Amino acid sequence: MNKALLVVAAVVVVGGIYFMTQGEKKKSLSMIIAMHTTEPQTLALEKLAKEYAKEVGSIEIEIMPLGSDTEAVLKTKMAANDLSDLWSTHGWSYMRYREYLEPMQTQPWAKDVNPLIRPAIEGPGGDFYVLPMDMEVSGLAYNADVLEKAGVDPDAIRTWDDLDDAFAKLKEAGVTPMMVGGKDIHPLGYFFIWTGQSFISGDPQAQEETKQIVAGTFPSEKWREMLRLLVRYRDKGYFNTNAVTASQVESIQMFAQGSCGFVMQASNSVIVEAMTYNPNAKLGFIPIPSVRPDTEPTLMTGERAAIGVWKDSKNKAEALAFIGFLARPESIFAVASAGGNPAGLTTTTSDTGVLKPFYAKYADIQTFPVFDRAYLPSGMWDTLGTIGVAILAGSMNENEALERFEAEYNRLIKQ
Amino acid sequence: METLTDFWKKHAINLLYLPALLLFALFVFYPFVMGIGISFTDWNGFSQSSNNVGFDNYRQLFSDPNVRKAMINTLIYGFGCTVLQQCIGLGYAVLLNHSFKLRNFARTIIYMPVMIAGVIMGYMVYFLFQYNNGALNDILALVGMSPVDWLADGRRAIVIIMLINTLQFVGISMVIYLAGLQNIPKSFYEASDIDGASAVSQFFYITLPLLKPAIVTSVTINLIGGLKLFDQIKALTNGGPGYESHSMSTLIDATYFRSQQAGYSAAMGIVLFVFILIVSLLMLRFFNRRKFEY
Repeated sequence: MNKALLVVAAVVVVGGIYFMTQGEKKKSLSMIIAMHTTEPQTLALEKLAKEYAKEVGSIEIEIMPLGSDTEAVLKTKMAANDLSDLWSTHGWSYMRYREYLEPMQTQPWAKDVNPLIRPAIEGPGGDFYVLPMDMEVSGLAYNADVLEKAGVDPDAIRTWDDLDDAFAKLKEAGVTPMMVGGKDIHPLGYFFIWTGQSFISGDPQAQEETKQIVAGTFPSEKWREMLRLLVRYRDKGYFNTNAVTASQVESIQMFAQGSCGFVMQASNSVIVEAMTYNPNAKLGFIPIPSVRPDTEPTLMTGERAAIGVWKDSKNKAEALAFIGFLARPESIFAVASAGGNPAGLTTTTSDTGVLKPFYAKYADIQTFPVFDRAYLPSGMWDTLGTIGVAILAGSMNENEALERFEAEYNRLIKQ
Repeated sequence: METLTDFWKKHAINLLYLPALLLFALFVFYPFVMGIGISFTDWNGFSQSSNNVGFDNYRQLFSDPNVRKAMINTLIYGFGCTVLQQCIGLGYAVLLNHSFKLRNFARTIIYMPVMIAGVIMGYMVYFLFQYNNGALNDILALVGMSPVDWLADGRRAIVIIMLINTLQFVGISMVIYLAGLQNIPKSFYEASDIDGASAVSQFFYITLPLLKPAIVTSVTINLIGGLKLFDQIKALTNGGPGYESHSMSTLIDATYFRSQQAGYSAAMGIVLFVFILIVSLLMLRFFNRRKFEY
């Protein structure tokens, strides 16, 4: 009798647990983001994911902030054709990921995409593959206190020669003119995308070279000029002594603490991060200097928190519904404000915090899509950074570097 | 006639290694064979398509200055670390084979770094060597000297990486040599004492020859580890400045993931495998030429 009762009780308990878990089973969406765990935008996205899960009830969203590992993980997942339901495309929605992403131009919010970000995400046919929650509009970040003490007026810097003069004053004042975190390789890439925009895409007199590079020809002579500028700044001692061994984090900390005038990073994200180290720092940015006095400085625009949906996802409908939630003005506001960036959709604005006066000041300045994303083949960023570090270390000369750049460009353009 | 029971008794032992064999086949052999296939393509590492390029990747290897540099560095890491680990490890073992107070504590301290992940060790040492706020430069500042950017010079970075790897894994050599030393019969030393042999003579004519099996094991483990060195380089210099401190392993990683040349990277991996295989076989042959028996 007792045994029979035990069996019945066991069946009831097991059955109960089974039905309870069946009843609670939710669909799970995975989203990889190219941000660090503690980044304000990561926290904002996690909060939105929780709000959405609560609103819908039948969805769970796992956000995976993979930081600097994002690219390698996504490449491995692409190779296996087994991607997460959603991911942030860190500047490569069109050139690298479009083969795997669901087109977004038919989404209800598509007409509201900010015209400034369109050139960075759209193909020639107007097709695009991400929801741009915000956009990077950036130039060269500076520490206003440091510049003021050295007698440098940031608004007077319009060309690379003006920047040279400013660097000389900073050096004379005993501070590092420009801080580079070369151990992490990629900061040096910024030098080449800034100068690439100045010397090629943003220079009205270099339109022939711009056409050539679009057609797949490496602009050797322009690149040589860019390399010479880097060598000139290096030889004048404008970079930190440990430019090739400092980590990116160290460079941002030194910038926040006022040990340097400028830092080699995208201005808006570096300023937001530097403020977390020193909330009292007075930071700002200038547009990318022009190549000659008769051409205007420019700004660079690119993706920041841009989210796409895997076209073969089993949860595509749910992922697109979540994208719809993220496209709401209040979601866009939250994520764009967390990054201190302008909103990616025109349905709302964002709180750009300390950067607000700068966006207002530079509202009329011409913008260009991030140089490597628009004009260089996918995979070139690593070459820009590694060769840049080799030049600063003196282990590669101008000719070797130029030869290497050209060889890598020609190899990658064929892929 | 063999019964089923006899057959089972005879072959049941094979079932015991079957799980390990399956795991090896799945996670080592299968990827290795796939790697050979990829090395003949121009695959970028993520696309669903690629082209067959024959032996182009292998031909390119021999003219690539970065591969040449990484190969030289790999040899320095491999042989440099091995020599240092044997000398220091054997020294520790001889010292710690004697009875003294805190002997076990000393053994534990020397072995402890082995248990730390290489990448963590690398980052810990990075904070010692970094230019700003690094412990070494703080010490230099205390004695009125200018700070040094220790890892900025490629050659110096290679030496630092080699020393760090040696210090981390010297505990393995020490343990192997300790086991070897404890297997040498005491009677040999007693007999040589009677013959009037000095401690130095005992070391070179008794200890060292009879430690040969331990030397073979320790050298093989250290050499393979040194030739495959990855973690500490990644954490300390990331292969830089430029390409200066890359080993073949870190260059393979950078070529695959950052330069998007999976085919070329796979070719490097295959060449590294063949190279390590040849070095290991030559070394075993060298050590097996003379056998000591006691």
